[in-house]
Amino acid sequence: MSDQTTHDKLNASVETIISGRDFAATGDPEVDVLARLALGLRGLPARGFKARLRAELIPGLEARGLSGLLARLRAAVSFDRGTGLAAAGGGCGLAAGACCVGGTVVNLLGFASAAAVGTFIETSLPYFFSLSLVMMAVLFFFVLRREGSGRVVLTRSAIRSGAVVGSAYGVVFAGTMALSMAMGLY
Amino acid sequence: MLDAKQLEAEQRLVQSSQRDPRRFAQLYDRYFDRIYAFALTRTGNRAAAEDVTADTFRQAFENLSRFQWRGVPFSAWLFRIAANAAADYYQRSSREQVVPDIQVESDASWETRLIEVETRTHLFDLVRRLPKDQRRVIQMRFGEELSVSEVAQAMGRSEGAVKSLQHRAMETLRARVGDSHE
Repeated sequence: MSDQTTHDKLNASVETIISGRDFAATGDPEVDVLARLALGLRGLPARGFKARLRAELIPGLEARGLSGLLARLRAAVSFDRGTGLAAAGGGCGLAAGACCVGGTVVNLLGFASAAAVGTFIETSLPYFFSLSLVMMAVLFFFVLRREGSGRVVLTRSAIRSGAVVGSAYGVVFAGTMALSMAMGLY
Repeated sequence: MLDAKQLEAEQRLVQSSQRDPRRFAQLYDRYFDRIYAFALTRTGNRAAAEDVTADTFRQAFENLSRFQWRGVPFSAWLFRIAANAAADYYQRSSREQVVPDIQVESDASWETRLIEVETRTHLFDLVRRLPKDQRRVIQMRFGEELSVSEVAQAMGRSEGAVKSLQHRAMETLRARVGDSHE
């Protein structure tokens, strides 16, 4: 039997299946096996249905442009992942060293002398450092509140979060200090 | 069937979805095919299956915060919602007499239905892995219910070529179904 005939026979069975009727055996075992398999494909999800329903349920994930990007970024740095905690810790470290970074930029742009920037960093660093500690406390409050109650769970979460946040904080803060020291400002 | 490690991972995913609803997308992607196949098996037609699937995930998403982990797969909860959604659909349809051929009360045993659901889910997954042209033909024929001439027009091929691709796609599926059963 030619390929063309086999293709036509299978196609006739598929037409029957798609139209909602059960196919009748053609007498060609090869075609009938494939047609029985095709029965399982009746009602295959329409293209786009899954994506449309997902977009309807969870709009943020499907949004395009800036809002979509922000939603995906928020999901990527969620506190449930180490990346979220590390980013938050790094942010606190950056807040602590903001006077160092800011002073370095101002000095590089020629708006202030190295001596003036050095004085600014020396006097303002304790305030920025204190601010970063407050930010860390708020961060820990939210992280631990999400974990619910239970001493063991809270302790384990505090240790894990503390290690990630503290490491990121230390690296970023030390980086900002090293930057200002390398520039001879502090 | 999930092993203990997979159950634990699923528990973590469910709990993180309860805290951050965006994570629900992962549960949705994991169980969409299975719930759709279940809805199709229960209702017997695409429109009804889409309605039941949408209702199931909507209810699951809205009630996720109330879900309590009891050590059984999340899919068990989803199937319960889907079964209720299918029954609701059946009642609505009976009142409106829109879908007379709905199969909610078929004689098939629970086990037979489960096998049918798993078979369909597996087939849908295999379709996704077909070579591109074969997948397009199967998607358009069975997913969009287009005729051979419509598919040929959409793909810029002859009707003979589409029938040949359809045949090859079915052969590929048969081989892969066979492989997975060995």
